[in-house]
Amino acid sequence: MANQLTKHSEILSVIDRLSGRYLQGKIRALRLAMIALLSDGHLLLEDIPGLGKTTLALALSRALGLSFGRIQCTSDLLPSDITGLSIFDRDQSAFRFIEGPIFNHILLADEINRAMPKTQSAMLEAMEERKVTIEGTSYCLPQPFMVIATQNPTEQIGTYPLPESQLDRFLITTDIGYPPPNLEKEIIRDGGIREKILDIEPLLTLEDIEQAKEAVRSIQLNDKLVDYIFAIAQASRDHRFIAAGISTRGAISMAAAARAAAYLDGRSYVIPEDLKQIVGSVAAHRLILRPEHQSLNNREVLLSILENVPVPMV
Amino acid sequence: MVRIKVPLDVLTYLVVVLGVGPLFPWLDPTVRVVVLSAFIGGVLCDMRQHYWFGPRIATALTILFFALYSVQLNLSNVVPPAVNILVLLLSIRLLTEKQGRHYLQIFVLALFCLAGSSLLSLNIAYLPALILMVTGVTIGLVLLTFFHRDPGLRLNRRQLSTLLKTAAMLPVGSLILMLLLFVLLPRTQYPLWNFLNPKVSATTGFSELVRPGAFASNIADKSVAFRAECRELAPEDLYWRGTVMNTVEGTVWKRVAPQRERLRIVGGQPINYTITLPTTNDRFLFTLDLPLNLEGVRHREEDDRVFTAHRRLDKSLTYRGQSRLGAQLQQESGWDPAIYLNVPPTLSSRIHQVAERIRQQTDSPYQRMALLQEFFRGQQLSYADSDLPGPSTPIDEFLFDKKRGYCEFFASSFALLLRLCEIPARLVGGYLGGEYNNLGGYYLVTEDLAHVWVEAMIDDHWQRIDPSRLAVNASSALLAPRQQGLSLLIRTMDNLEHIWTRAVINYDLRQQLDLMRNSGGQLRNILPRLATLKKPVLILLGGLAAISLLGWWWRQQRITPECGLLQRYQAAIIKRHHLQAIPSTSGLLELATQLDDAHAIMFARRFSAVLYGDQQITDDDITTLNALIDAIGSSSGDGQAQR
Repeated sequence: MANQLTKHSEILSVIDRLSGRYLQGKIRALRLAMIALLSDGHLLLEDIPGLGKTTLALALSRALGLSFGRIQCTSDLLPSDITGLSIFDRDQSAFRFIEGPIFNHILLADEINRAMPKTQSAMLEAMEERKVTIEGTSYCLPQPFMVIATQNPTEQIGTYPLPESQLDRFLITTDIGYPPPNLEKEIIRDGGIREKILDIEPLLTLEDIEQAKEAVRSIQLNDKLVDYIFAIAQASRDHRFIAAGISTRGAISMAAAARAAAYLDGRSYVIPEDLKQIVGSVAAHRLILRPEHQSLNNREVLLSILENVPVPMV
Repeated sequence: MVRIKVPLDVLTYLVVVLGVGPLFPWLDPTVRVVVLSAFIGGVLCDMRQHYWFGPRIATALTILFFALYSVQLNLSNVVPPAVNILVLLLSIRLLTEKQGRHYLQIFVLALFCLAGSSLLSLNIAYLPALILMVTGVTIGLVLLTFFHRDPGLRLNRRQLSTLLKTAAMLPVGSLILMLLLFVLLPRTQYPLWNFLNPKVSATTGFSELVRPGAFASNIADKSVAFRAECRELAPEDLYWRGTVMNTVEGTVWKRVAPQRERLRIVGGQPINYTITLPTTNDRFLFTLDLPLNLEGVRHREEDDRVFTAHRRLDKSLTYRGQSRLGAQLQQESGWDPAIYLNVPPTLSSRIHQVAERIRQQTDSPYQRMALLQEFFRGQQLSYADSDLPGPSTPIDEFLFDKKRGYCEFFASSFALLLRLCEIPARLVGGYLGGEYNNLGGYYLVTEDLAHVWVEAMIDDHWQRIDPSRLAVNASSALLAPRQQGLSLLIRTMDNLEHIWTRAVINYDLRQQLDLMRNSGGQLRNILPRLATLKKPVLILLGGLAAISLLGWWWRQQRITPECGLLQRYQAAIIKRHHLQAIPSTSGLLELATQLDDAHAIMFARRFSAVLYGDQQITDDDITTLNALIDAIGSSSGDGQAQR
């Protein structure tokens, strides 16, 4: 069992180190970010500004030894501001491609809902394809590649909310939440940790991450669990509050995230609890509620579905 | 203002007096002293709100008294020690502080004391004591609900009187109902509502007198005469015998007690049946002609095969009968036929002329009867229920003028002519026909089937002759209405009523016991025959046992070890953590973590690996998991400590 879970202890040590020293009180978000990374997905953080979204992304990239790019989305942001553009090099009398911030391992797209739909769609396309095509030339994005997008759920004026089809491209959506009171007081006393983050030494190599991802892919997903995922998806499709339930991609994402969760828990097989742990973050944002039930919380509706799907046992 | 405790205490002491009072003379002298002093002490304690001893001493005393008297208990001496114990328990309860449940205990103990007194003697004082006790306890319970809600509750005089009045309605109402239901109703002779439908005109039906000409018309009455359970019979066999009328006075036929006659029943095929009579307030027990004997009811049997009950049939009744179909009554020689040859002197000359003519034609009784039948046919008589002959000379009018009448006319005129021809004759009253209810397997006989026919003595045999069949319209007017058949609905409803009567109203424990004994006897008869079947039966039984064993083994094989383990684990968890059930939507580890049970968490981890890890379960796994389940069962809240 141990040899299957390659680099398990290294990955855990990153989470321990970060949550223990730098990102106190954000262990849940950190774990989910790690799950997204290990299962080749992207992360959407929905929370108000100032709760450490950027800090989380930055700390993660430093600790993993990954390159980090950042875009502050505004309504005048152009697709080329993200992907990069070709400029004419007079010395060589040829066009030269200048890479945009997307050519980083971890890309933080702040307030993604402020960007124009055109820009959003260019970025989301790159997220899915993992390559950028400019003027007929395709440029591959680095591996691993993860977008951490943030959006402010309370501010609606002058925003272009992500359509559901785009939301579906994010593996995980989560909030960060306020730190516990004691921790918050400590943070208030000591000030921010942005400077300290720059001191974080990489704990892993790219090689390590690739091996860990390989290990996650080899985690066992028993037929019972496949049935369970299918039953949840089916129940969401038949639910009377829901117009469109969990898609097949949503179900695939659930399986992938559950594998990563099992890996983080040190198991070579997925158990129903893994699914229950990630389902809210992975599937809730994929549900489209009926207009008359728009006021309900997606996550609560999903949990009510889980309350009616029996856990597979024997 | 009155505290609610005061009326409650007063009622409680009243109830205690009512309970212990009737028992007092039967108590041991020491117990008498104890209960008297406890009563006075209790009143004093309640007034001062200060009690001499607390619950611990009370419990100790209870055990002591119990031990003292329980040694006296034995099979021959049960009641006196028991009532003494009851009274002592009550005394202790009186002396200690009283809360809601203590009042309840006092009420119950007092009730038991009163009930106990009825075991020793049941004198007239018991009834008023019981009534007062019921009243007191009911009102006390109402007060107790208020007391329980707020022991310090105070009511003003008006509120209190309203409360007491309302509370008193309960026992008063129930006592009146009790009086009605258990004292008055069961003692009425007739159904209470009978006065609503008094009899207005003569209706057809069985009667012990035959009076042709008494009524101008008859109304068919469809009420049930009786039901007879037996196999289906031919319509011509359905003569139900009730009474025999052997004497005629004027135009009225009636029964006088017959002289001792030596009669034998000859021929015929035997038949058994069960008859259920509704309440008739009469004595006649109907039987299928000709009856041999009856059982299941105390009865008198007379020589002319008339059965009467010892008492009037003032409630519904079921009895069994045995008869012979088509049999004849044989009269041994040496008897006096004079009673069966009497004719009234008022018969008209036309009748005498008919008889005279027949007498002169032949001497043989057979031929005389044949001639008489011919005469009847020749008269073109018709069977009818209306426009009947008048009361003065009904027979003459029937035979020669109106030529219409019902069975009484036919039978009485035929019998009179037989007698004039020197053939002994008598009338038999009963019923003809019946609707067979194949759902319940019984004949339903209604009052409109009442019938009278003739028995004539020819060659020392009483023979049944039904002169009504000589009517020109016999098949349509006499026989057809008796074979109409019943609709399914009527048959079903009547069957339900019959079952109700048989199973509830006429339930007779002795009959049921007889039935059981009979079936036991039949079983014993069968058993010796079974012995010869021993070998094949043994082989069959062995085969069945082997098959069921195989089936069980197969099922056991089909229950996987995982399934067994899960069931054991869930049972242990339910027991250990007092759960109602394990929700099917919570995972193993999830539930174990919620319960915070170290062993359960260990089990869940290990078992999850087996369930979801695609590994075959090993014996080692099973042993470990079973050990963990045992640990869950035996741990007593130390789950936290061991973690």
